[in-house]
Parts: sequence; structure tokens; C-alpha cells
Amino acid sequence: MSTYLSLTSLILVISALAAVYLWYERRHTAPAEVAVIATLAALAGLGRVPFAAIPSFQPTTFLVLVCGHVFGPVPGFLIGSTAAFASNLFLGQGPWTPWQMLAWGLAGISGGLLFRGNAFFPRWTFTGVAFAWGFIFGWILNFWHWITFVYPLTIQSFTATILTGIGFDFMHAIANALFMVLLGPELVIILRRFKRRLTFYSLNGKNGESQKRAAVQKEGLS
Amino acid sequence: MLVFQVKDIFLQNLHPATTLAYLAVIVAGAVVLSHPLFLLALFISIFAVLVASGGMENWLQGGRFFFVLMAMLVLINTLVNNLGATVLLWGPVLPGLGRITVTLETLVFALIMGIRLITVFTAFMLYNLTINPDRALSLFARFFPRSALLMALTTKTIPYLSQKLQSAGEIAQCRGVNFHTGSRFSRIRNRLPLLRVLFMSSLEDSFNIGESIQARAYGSGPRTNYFQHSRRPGDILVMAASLFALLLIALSLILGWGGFAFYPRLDVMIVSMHQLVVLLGLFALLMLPFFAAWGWNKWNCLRWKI
Repeated sequence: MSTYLSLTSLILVISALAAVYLWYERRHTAPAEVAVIATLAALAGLGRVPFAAIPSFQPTTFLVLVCGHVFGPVPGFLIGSTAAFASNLFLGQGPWTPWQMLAWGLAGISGGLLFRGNAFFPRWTFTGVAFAWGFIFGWILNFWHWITFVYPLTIQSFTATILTGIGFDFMHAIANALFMVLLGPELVIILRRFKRRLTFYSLNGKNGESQKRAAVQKEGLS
Repeated sequence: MLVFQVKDIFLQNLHPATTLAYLAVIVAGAVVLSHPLFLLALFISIFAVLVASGGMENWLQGGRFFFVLMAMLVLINTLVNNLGATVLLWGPVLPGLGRITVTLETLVFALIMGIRLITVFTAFMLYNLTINPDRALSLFARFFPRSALLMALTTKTIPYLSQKLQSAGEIAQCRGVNFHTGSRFSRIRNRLPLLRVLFMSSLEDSFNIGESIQARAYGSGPRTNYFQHSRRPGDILVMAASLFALLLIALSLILGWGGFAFYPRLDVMIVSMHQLVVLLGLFALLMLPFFAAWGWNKWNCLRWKI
């Protein structure tokens, strides 16, 4: 029974990822938007490569959270999942790839949903969220391992599966929190400035007034 | 860092969809079948294909990682599972878990799950060895053109940013910043300004990329295909073998031959002659790519034909 769950969960995750990318296919995307998402995903993915020697110590989750916060949940998802896939081309694809795509995508969504309208960046709240994501990320990745290779599927067996990787999860959480405290606010300022540059002003508004339109909103990058 | 190497091997010369279909059947079979002999057939097949594709060295390098994961599987299953009837060892009573017992059934289950794990990992190792990322992206570009462009842009940007980070580090070092001495924390803190420089310059560059792809008429119509994937007799052979293997896996599941009862006592391995025939048929089908890859390396006449 558990093996059917394993295949079903894998198919569901791949279908969910395909649905998001299909949605991205169907809307009009500005070239600058594609390039910015790709660059941010590359920056997030690059974070994994030089730090690969220290297991789980990498700034990817932190970057995805901040990108999600500035650009919104959907670009956050795309940045997180694309970073996972592209960086695995250099680190090796495995059964973990769809789960990493999902986990980092969800981190991007959560970053986009928290304090979206705030003018200031809630550094300490985001540090807490980043710390928590260190563990949530590990649990998402352990989930498939648990339903595929462990029997019976109980709370005890899930806890035991999590405990085997708790050291890596803790290291990931510490790295996330550290990067968020040291770099978070500064990075948000940089990203907000670039987001403003994706904004255009049209001069054909009512009574000749300039009417601000966010290109990012019009194009859906919001 | 993993770098894809183009080699003159059978699976790299196949259509990427064919290799993907074969690997998908192996992975799907490994996660749905729990019968030890069926799992062993899957493992032997994929391992043989990997060896014929020159991936033995990679597999041995990853071996240590497999064995750590297998040891964890044995540990987890032993700690949480008290379903086996043949007790080999009585352990202590642990809070929350009760008495720990090591049973024959649990050890066999953990071993079989280890085979499942190694089968899945070997399949992905073969994927990394034989699927050219460019060709795979080109294949997906037919159905997901914008996403394929996004992936391609991201993939090309990663090494570029890595070089840029290195250059920025060298410039900072020329100005007297030291990354190699001091406490670990100060070494990390000294590197942080580099990330700021990298962020600003790469995002600046992304606007140039955006203008550049717009100048090349991005979004003005359907994209052109850059790779022409030809189908050869080898593709038909491997694709047919994969499809028939998938049918046999489905048949085994429907008839209950692909399952195995580990608890409370280990089940009988072979229940009927039909099950044995299906098992051997599955094994033969999954071994076909190995024979083709082996023949490809050995005989030029076969290479020309498939």
C-alpha cells in the first residue's frame, strides 16, 4: 500500500510543478521578466554549488524567501523551483529533484505571502521564518524517503526518519537565519530598486497626468 | 561539480525520450514492486546498463553514500517496527518506542528497501550520465517553450556568475581584503560585500539579457527547434522493451505477484510458474538495452544497424 502512495505522491508533485510551469507558459511574459527570474534563480542555485562541501549550509532558501517577498508568491515559486532544477544539473539530478523544486517553490510562496504590503522589511520575523524553513525543507524531502522505504507509516517512524537528518536540517536553519540577519534588509532594498525599474509610466492617463503602472503587475509578476 | 560529458555510447545516441521512458519504467517499477526477486531483476538490469555505459566509477564513488542511507534504513526500520515474528535480538526499552527488537523480517525488509533505494539511485546516475541536458531541454521546449528558455537562461547564468564571483573576490583581495585568515565568522562576513556586488551587477546584466532576447524577436511567434532528434531502430527496440516491461509490471501488480508479505513471517518467494515466467520476461526486457549497449561497443555492424 505504501508503495502506491510513493508513486502517487511523486506523480502529484510532478503534476503540480507541471501545472505551475504550464500556467507560466500561458501568460504573456515580458523578456525583462524572464531574464530577471532566470538571474535570481541562478543566484539562488549558485549558492548551493560553492557551499556544497558543507552539507545544508547554503543561502538558497534565504534568497528564495527574500525574492518571494519582493516579487510575489508566483515568481517566488518559479525562482525556487527553477533554482533547484538548474543547480541539480551541476550537482546531480535524483529522486530528490521534484521534492526540492516543490520545497523551494513553497518557500518562495511563503515569502511572498508574508507581510507583502509592508514598506519596511520585518527582519526578525523573516529570520524566524527562514530558521523554520530549514526544518520544513528537510521534512518535505524526508517525506518521500519515509513513504517509500519505511514501514509501518506511523508518527514514530516519521519522527525517526526526521531525526536521522536533524543535524543537516539544523545546519540549514542556522545558515538561513544567519544570511537573513546579515544580508536580508540590504538585499530587499536592492531587489525593490530593481523591481521599480521593471515599472513603467504611461503619459496617456486622464487629463495628461502621468499614470503609474507596474509592468510587473500588468505582466503578472506580482 | 558535475559536468555532462558527451561520449560515444549507445544510450547517448538514442532519442532522449527513449532513455527517459526506460528510466521512468525502472523508477516506477522500483517504487511499486516490493517482491525481492522483481526488485533484484530491476537492479541488475539498470546496473548492467550503467556498467555498459561506462558509469561503474561514478557508481563506486557514490557507494559510500548508498551504504550510509542503507544503514539508516536498517536503523529506522529496526527502531519503529515490531511486526516481525522471528526475534533475533531483544533490545532495551526506549521511551516512546517501547521494547526494541531486531527481527529477521525487519532486517530482510530493510535489505530489500536498500535494493529499492540503490535501484532508484542507479537509475538517476544513469540519467546524469546519458541524458544530455541540452537535448532534454530541447525536447521539453516543444511543450514548455518559455519554461525551457527560463531553465536554459538559469543554467547558463550559474557558471557565469561563479566566474564573476571569483573575479570580484580577486579584486577585493588586491585591495587588501582577507578571506583566508581570522575566525570562521569574520571570513564569512568579509565575503558578504561580494554577494552584494554580484547581486547588483548580475541584475543589471539581466536587463541587458531581456533587451537582447527582445531584439531577437522573443515572443513574436513559436520558437524554432534547435535540435533534430532522429529516431533509429535502437529507439524502437528500447521503447518497445520499456513499454512491454511496464505492461508486465502492471500485470504483476494486478495479479499480486509483484508484492511480497514481509510480516509477520516472510512469504514464499515464488507462488506459481506463471509468476516465474513473468519475472524472467521482465528481466529479459529490461536487459535488452544492456545487450544493445554491449553490442554497440563490440560490433560496428550492430552500431550501424541500431
